[in-house]
Amino acid sequence: MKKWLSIALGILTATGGFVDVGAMSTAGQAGAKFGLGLVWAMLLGTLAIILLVEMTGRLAAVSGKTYADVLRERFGFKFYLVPLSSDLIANMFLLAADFGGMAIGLALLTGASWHTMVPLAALAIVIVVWRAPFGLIENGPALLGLVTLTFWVAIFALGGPKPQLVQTLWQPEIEPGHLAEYLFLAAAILGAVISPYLLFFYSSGAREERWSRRSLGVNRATALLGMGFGSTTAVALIILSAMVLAPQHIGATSLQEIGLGMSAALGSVGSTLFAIALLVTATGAALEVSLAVGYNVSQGFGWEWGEEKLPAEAPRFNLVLIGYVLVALLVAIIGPDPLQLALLGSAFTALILPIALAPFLLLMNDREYLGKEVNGTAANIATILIVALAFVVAAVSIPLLLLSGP
Amino acid sequence: LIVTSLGACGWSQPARAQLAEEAAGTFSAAAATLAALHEGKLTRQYAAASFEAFREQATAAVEGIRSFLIPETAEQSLDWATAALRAPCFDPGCDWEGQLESLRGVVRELLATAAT
Repeated sequence: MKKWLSIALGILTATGGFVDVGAMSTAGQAGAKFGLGLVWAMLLGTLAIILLVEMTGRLAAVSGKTYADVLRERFGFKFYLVPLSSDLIANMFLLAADFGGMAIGLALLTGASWHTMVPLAALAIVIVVWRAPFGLIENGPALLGLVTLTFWVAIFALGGPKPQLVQTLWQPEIEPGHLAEYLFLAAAILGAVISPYLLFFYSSGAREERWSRRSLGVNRATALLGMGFGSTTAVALIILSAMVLAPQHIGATSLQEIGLGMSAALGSVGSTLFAIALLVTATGAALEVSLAVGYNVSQGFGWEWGEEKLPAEAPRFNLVLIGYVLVALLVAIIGPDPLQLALLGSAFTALILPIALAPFLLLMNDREYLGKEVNGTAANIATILIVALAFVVAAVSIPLLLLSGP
Repeated sequence: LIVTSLGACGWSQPARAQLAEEAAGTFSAAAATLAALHEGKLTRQYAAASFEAFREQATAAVEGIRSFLIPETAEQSLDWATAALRAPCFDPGCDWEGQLESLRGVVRELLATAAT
């Protein structure tokens, strides 16, 4: 019974925690500008993240070590500094965007200026990561994030997409001069969905919860069903934006605009639900990104780490966390609009994907860590394809960013 | 090199069209927000927080558009619409329908500018 409850909780939290500000921004813009023509990118990214999350969970459960631990042990500290430093830069944009998302969610609920809410958002994150236990951080916002399922309710309330719109699933309508923007959004969606921070957070979470070989079932169910269901909420946002924003030429260039889809379908209840969804998902992602950074740095340098430990027991882990939050706060205050920050963060994540993902090819075939749980042929082929995709996305993301000028 | 080549091959729009489309999107969102508020489909808090973002976005986009040569009618529509963004009519007694017309008018003008 306890095992089934654990599986159900894992699925629910992965579902509710899938969407963050990056996924919301890219999904909203994709639907508003290209109808359903970028749903394929979301599905492709979801397939990749399901496989990668399952692998990192398996690695942590069987070896008793996190992905960061194994990276450092297997390739050495100098090599580890490469994914660590690139991840720190990408996560800075994402964390700042998440602070902005939280602030906008609060502003939409209260009518206050979102700029004044940004420090409050950062303060809330500092307090929670300082005091709350891991279980609460992992499960609380993710369960509340199930509110994103109301995006589907809105689609049904509007009567579903018309056949002409459905056709853009396989026949995307790309107007002249918009090809670069289309491809940039595809790369940004992949960057937003295949987030390396999620992998580091997931494998550290597996260690926090003391996963063992017996947890492999929970791992598979969480990765497959949780991530699978979670991605449907992002797809729903693409559909909703395509149905409501695109016909009015609204480009979804701010998070506030994306909520107009919910308001058109469900009235003021819908817009309030969108504001709550934005607040909750941004909070969950901000917590995950902050913790992932603390884990990465501490595990890389061999320091004490763990959210279950008291701050005095893992002082450097907590110091890194707080320092990083403060720097991200500064970026959020002086940087561009949160949606632009999220797009930049997704593009930069796309750029560094090969660095974070290429080691999977070797690690997941290392019997020293995985015993008989190493990858099979099919998993290896899938990993090669994902790494190849990561190289392509990395090569095109920045030129396309400059061309499309979001 | 890649950026210049792809730009020349028509993968991206000229800056003028990009700016006009971006501004049209913002003004259209403002019109939709104002209409939704007065139809009871949006809370006043949501509308107030949204208009803050619209003002910030439009300021940058409108400055960019004015640096290009645009028709006089579009200039005038931009003035009216920008005024509506600065002081939106959230109360029923105020002429919100006039503002809505201004916002929708500038969207038409900007989309026409982007297309030329």
